[in-house]
Amino acid sequence: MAAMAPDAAFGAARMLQRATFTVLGRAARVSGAVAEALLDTPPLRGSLARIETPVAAVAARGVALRHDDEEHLKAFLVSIEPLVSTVLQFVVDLLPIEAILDRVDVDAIVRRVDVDALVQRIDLPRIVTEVLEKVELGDLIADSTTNIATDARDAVRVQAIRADSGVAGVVDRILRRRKPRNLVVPGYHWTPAL
Amino acid sequence: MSASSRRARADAVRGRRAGVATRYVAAGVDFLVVGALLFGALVGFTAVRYLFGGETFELPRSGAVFDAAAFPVLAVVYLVAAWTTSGRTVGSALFGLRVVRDTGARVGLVRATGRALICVTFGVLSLAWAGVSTRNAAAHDLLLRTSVVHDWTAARSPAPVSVVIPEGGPV
Repeated sequence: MAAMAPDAAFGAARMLQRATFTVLGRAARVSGAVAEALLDTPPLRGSLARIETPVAAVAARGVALRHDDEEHLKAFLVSIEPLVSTVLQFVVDLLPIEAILDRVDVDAIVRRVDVDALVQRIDLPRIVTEVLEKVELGDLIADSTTNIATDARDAVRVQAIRADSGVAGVVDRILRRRKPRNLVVPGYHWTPAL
Repeated sequence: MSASSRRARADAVRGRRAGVATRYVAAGVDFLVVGALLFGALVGFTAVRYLFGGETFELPRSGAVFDAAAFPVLAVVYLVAAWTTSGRTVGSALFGLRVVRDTGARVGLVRATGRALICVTFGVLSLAWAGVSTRNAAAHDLLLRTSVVHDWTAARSPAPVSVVIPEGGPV
């Protein structure tokens, strides 16, 4: 009996609150309809016009107050945002995400995906065409071709220089030369014609 | 291979006298080039003759004098033209060589003509001396004070690319 007391008290309070709100709502609706009918009667119509000015002032004041309240609410929400973030982060940290992921069979999910249907929905020719339009294919081919040709040419030149050294080495050995060949043209400076 | 390492290698050999093997191979390329030029000239002449009222398209039957002289004359003209301008024939350009005076300057017309005459007449023999010379000089090089040096022109750096970003596109 004692254990049920708090729940019983809470239940009673909630029931009372709901009943009160229901009654108030109905009363407001009824009084609104009555007031509308009364204001429409001729004797009240004149006095209504007289009190319109003070009501307008009060209404303006109400608008200003409502605006202030909204601003206060916004400021409050902004101020508690870090706190909410911290709490959410704390909750996320608490969750055993790895354990949850271990229990999810990703392979089974992937198996359920109809990849063929998915691929068929992709307009591959259009994508390829768009990509090719954006890639400067001509420049790319020209660059790579030039690189290959230059590498091949340089390789031939290096081989020829090795052959030069080989021939010179053999000749110099036969002639019993000790000193290396003098191959540097002093002050070589090429000035192109024109 | 990157452009920078190419440039480094080109710088390492620039201005050094080329050896006999490289020069023989380059000369062989030039021999083929002159042959191709001569053949092209004959075919061109035949084509022009055919277009202007010839009846058959066949190479001209030249005389013995022409047959004997055409190749050497064309070779001399080709060599002189190459050496007095860029210092490179097609074969030299392929192997990164350049013919210069011993001072490193460009070869003049007279020197180039003399050198071309010797090369066309005794070239195969006189070039052999480059294998023996302590400074890789062929007989005609010693006579005319010329040198054949390596001059690898490094690959040109690509032109700057200008990119136009359309308005409203991602920045």
